Amino acid sequence: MTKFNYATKKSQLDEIISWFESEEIDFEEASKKYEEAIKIIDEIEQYLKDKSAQLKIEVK
Amino acid sequence: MNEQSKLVFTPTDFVAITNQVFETAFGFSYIEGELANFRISKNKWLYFDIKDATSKVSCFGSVYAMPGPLEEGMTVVVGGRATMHPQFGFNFTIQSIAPSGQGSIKKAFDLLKAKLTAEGLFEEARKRSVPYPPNNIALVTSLESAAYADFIKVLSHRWPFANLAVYDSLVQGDQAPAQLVNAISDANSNEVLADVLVITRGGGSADDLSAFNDERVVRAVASSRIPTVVAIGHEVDESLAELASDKRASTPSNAAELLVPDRQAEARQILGLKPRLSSSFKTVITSNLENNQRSLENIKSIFNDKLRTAEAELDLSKHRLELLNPRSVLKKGYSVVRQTGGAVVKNSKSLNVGQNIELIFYQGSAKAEVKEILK
Repeated sequence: MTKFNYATKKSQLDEIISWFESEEIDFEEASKKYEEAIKIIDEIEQYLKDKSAQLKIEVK
Repeated sequence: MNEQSKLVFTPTDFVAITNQVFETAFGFSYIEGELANFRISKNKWLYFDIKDATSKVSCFGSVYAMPGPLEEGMTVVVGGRATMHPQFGFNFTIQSIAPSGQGSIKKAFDLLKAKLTAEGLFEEARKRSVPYPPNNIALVTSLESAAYADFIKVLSHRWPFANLAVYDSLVQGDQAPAQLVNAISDANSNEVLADVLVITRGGGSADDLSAFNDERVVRAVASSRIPTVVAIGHEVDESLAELASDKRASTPSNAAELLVPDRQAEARQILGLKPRLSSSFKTVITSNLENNQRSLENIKSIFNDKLRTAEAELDLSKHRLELLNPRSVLKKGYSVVRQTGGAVVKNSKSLNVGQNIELIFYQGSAKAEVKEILK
């Protein structure tokens, strides 16, 4: 399973938000991007609310 | 003392025993004094004297022990061992040398700062961005320190999703520079590099923080392949390691705060994006509907225009046809004369007296006979 990369997900989300703020928006694409953004938000929310998350420390 | 009780050594034995005595008497020791007769040979070896008002001690060591540029007249503390060399006699073989006292520390700091500034080590253009938030963090600090505890505490609270690799190192004392350099080098030797390298310690006196003004440490920070954050727990003067780093933090806790967001604040912010996104999408839908409506109106308008043009063209054609219809002429009172058999009479010369002809009117027709032909 690919490890969740928060920075990448956030960057994808920021890109979609910026896209929505641009001037020329295609309805079909907007629909797809909206669904994609909602999916990313849900994934991030789940990640951030994971109570089992714990800092992994390795002493070298 | 008689001749038999005299201790007579060979030079080699004497040197060996003297070295044993020195080791037993002093071991690793420190001498503080003024730097004099300082010279570097072959870019490799240091020769100098350390002196006070009445005495001087010859010192020898490797250039790698130097914390940065040094000048004669500076007060320094050298750490090393008293040694009797088989060829060159007595010297103090140094393993560390550090400026001592406010004036000398400041002077050494200024000299090194000027040297590294000239090399461009502190230029803004060299600074790299630090990934935010990083997944993998390398930390160089003392595991025993409050700085380590503070950093872990803040990081765990704010962002427990990170992986932290800790490289233990002394952060003060004459062994600190070498250990810091090794730790930085180890962190940079991994096959998969961390996203960021944090080098931190808590506050202290100028002397405590001197390792972070050591040329070897500053160069290690500047040459790190991993973007660096240096956090020394003091606010007033920046250390040279901080100047060479990609990002500076004021304290270990501040370093953790700069590195990662607070997960709860981040969750609130991310959730806040949903209504913003929905609003944007609604705007797109509304705009799309309006566009469709406008397109429909345009199509309707074009269609009506075309229809009107076609109707007008049709009327015109009808009118033309009407004009061309022979019956329209008959309607006005004209008649058509035909010979018996059908040919239309266009010229009176084609007729003969007594010939039967047919007269066709708008309504009805009549038979007639030609009585006379007029020219």
